[in-house]
Amino acid sequence: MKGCVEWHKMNRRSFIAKTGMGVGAMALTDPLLQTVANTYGQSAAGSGDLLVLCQLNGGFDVLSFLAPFKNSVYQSKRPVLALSQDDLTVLPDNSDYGINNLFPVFNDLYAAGELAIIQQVGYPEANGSHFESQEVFEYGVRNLNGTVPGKWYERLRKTYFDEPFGVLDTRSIGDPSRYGYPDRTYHGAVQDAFARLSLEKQGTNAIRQAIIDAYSRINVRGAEIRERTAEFESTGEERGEFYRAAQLAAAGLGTQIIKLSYGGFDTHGSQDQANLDLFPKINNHFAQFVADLKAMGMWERTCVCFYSEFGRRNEENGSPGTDHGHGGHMILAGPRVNGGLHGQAVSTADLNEKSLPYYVDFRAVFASCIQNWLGFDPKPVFELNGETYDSNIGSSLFV
Amino acid sequence: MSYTTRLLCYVAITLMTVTGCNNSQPGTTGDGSNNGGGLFGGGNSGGSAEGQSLAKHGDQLTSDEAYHLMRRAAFGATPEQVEQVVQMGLTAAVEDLLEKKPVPAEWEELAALYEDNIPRRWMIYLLESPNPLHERLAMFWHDRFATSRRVVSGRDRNLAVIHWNMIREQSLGNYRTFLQELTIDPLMLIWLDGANSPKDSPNENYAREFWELFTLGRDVLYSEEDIKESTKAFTGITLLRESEKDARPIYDLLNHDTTVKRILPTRVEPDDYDYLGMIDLTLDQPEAARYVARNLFVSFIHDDPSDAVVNDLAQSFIDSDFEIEPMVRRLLTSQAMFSSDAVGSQITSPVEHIVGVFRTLDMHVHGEDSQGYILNQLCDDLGRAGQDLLNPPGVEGWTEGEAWLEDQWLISRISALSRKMEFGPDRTSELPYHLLPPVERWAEREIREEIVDTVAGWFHLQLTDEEKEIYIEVLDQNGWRAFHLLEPDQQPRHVSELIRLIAVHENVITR
Repeated sequence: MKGCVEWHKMNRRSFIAKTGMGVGAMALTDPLLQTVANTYGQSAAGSGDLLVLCQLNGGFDVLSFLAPFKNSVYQSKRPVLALSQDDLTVLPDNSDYGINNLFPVFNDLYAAGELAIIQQVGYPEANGSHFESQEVFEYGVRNLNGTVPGKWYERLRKTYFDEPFGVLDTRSIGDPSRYGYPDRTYHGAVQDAFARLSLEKQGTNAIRQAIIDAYSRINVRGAEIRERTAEFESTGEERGEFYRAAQLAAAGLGTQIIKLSYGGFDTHGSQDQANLDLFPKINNHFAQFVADLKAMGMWERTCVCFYSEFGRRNEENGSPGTDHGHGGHMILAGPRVNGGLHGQAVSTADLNEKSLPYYVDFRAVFASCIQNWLGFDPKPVFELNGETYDSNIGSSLFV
Repeated sequence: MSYTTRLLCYVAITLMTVTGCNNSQPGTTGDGSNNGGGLFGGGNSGGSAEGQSLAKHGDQLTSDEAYHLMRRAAFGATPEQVEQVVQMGLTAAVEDLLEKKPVPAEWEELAALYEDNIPRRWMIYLLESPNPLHERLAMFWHDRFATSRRVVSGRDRNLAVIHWNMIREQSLGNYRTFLQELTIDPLMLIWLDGANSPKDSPNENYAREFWELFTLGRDVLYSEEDIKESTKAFTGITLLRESEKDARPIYDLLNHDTTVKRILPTRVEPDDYDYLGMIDLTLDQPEAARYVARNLFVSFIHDDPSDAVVNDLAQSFIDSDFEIEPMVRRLLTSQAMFSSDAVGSQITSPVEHIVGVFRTLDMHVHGEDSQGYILNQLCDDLGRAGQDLLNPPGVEGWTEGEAWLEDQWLISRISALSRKMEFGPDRTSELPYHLLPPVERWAEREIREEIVDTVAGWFHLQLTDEEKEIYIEVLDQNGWRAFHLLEPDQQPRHVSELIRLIAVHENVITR
């Protein structure tokens, strides 16, 4: 397959042609098709590459991912949970750190120069609440006040590529084969009625309008998502969120951002046992995703960003697990990331703190993805309501 | 996930449950006249005087108001039940809802067959219990005190049943007692690591969520330092296993921190607090009563209670020594409950929506043999719709409001509505024939409009002419074949699909 830009445009054209043909004489007057055609006409030029956002909910213990295993403070603060050299693969370019062997695909990518780890990322005045901290990461602002119009990637979509498929969330799409109104009548009567109702009606208050908008979204995207994902064949047997992300990437709908999330990282207790299930799951699902995208020739144009609402405490508790911390690492994977360690390496001083501090603002990492990977100016997305942040990372994340 | 219990050879002292019983009623008076400003009508103008009034609403309800009450307090109601509420008047109807009635043995026995499969077991009560308000409140507390069965496996799965019984038992009881039960509930002790918090390496998880989620709200009153101190008060509780089906919370004295704790130092004297002391000192803060009052108001009425309303409710709550029932009574009979700010302002959760529709359709689950498979599918659909009971996405429960509008979650609600059991006293399958125009008339041309009107009427919808036309097209299959000319065996399917489409009308999803 050639580059994604061409592939993206071709699909957009065939998309309109196809839906137009499908409805025959109605095509010109059907307001639905008008909507689709208009939104597709508005796309702004970016790189056309794919950014996959993988949110690790609960607070990812980065010291169990990238371990400063030689550090005596690390070892003494975590008598049960600290990783030893046997548990990890030492980084080829920095023998003080190693990646947990429960993450072999991350080790392979690191060795191939396709993994960038941005260390000790966070935001000012860290909040220890999952909920609030997840919101900060999703909305990209510290002061929410209920006035921010949508999550940062939705704001990005609205600013630059206002297309119905521009941002897809695997949780929202669910199983693509079941996406759309599940009609059981002859002649698609209910499907048509559902479409007309969603297009012709106005809600009598804001939330009712939000429901109608959701129906309209389901209606506009339904057939395309079902049909375009039907042929997808994975290279493996895993069926998690990354499988769905691969299905959506393969659909060729011009999607710029795919969002997915995994939970289970809130390991206050029995963390060592929990990680034995959790880490291989993430690893295997992700490894299959990489294989799938390589098989489709799309890996070249893909960057996957892993992040979590906060890291965990340096010291283990008696459970044995770790409580909520502050700074954590963000991870970028892809053939065109600037592989290696970025940000501030975890020092003895950092480990002597209760939690890892933060040196890089998470928005700087997302902003770099927007600017250097997707090719858009991140300013309007993160600088609103007088918010400022330090955009300095200290090194470039993409080559 | 496994957990370790520290039974060993320590002296085990069964935790004492202090039951605070004080049944004082709040003295709300004041006659509110029924200011029937456009139920299901125009948009939210945002903040009417009625919307902030706890004064009593007039006793006589319109049919729309009675339906609104039943949707908010009992998920939904058949046209006949709505008529009964109108006949009873508001006060008597609310007393009837508050009165806990025995559940017929048929359902108790059926539900028990599902053992620790809480989604299916609970669904039977949600659909069939004569105490829908109690189930509604149990759902409310389950979301606030979110706890998941996914942390227990094997024989421990029974701990989920114990937890589920506890929240249903306490849902209209005393809040202090509820918090005491909750803190030492075995599933909660595992879920938030309360059972794994010895004094030498205390675990903050429960202490943090106790304030943030259960009693005060995010960042209200407490600092990180307070959490570290309060964690000490909760240390030493663990679980003792005595039988296959039970796990008993015990105090492991050697692991309880008996030092003096400086908790909320500007408000509270330092002392050697234990978990009961923590609950008491927290409830002594007016912010705690306000937190519950605001949450209950928002759950039953609308999102924006004024500070005056919250303070008023909170004071009554404190005066009643934290009895939940009087506050619920006051909310359900208030003018605010029936104000234009309230009506239609809430998005139902998937379970509330689907249970509400099925209660409206008079649908019942009779017997495992015929219904078990459908019940199974229904609960699976609701899981896919974003609400797998006793398995919330995280410690903060479900995110409500517009967060429910994830595409696939809405689609799964539509799928759930196709899971049909038996309807009405005659246990008809496929359709609630007893609520529809008689089938003998289904060959008449006018029947199409009548069926649409009837179905809309169950949900108290006022359809526009355009909507009605679209719904008639469903019966007529886009004009391929007029409904009244179809063979009788072809007709039910189309009525069934019509009901499903109307049941996802934006005014049915909202309440």
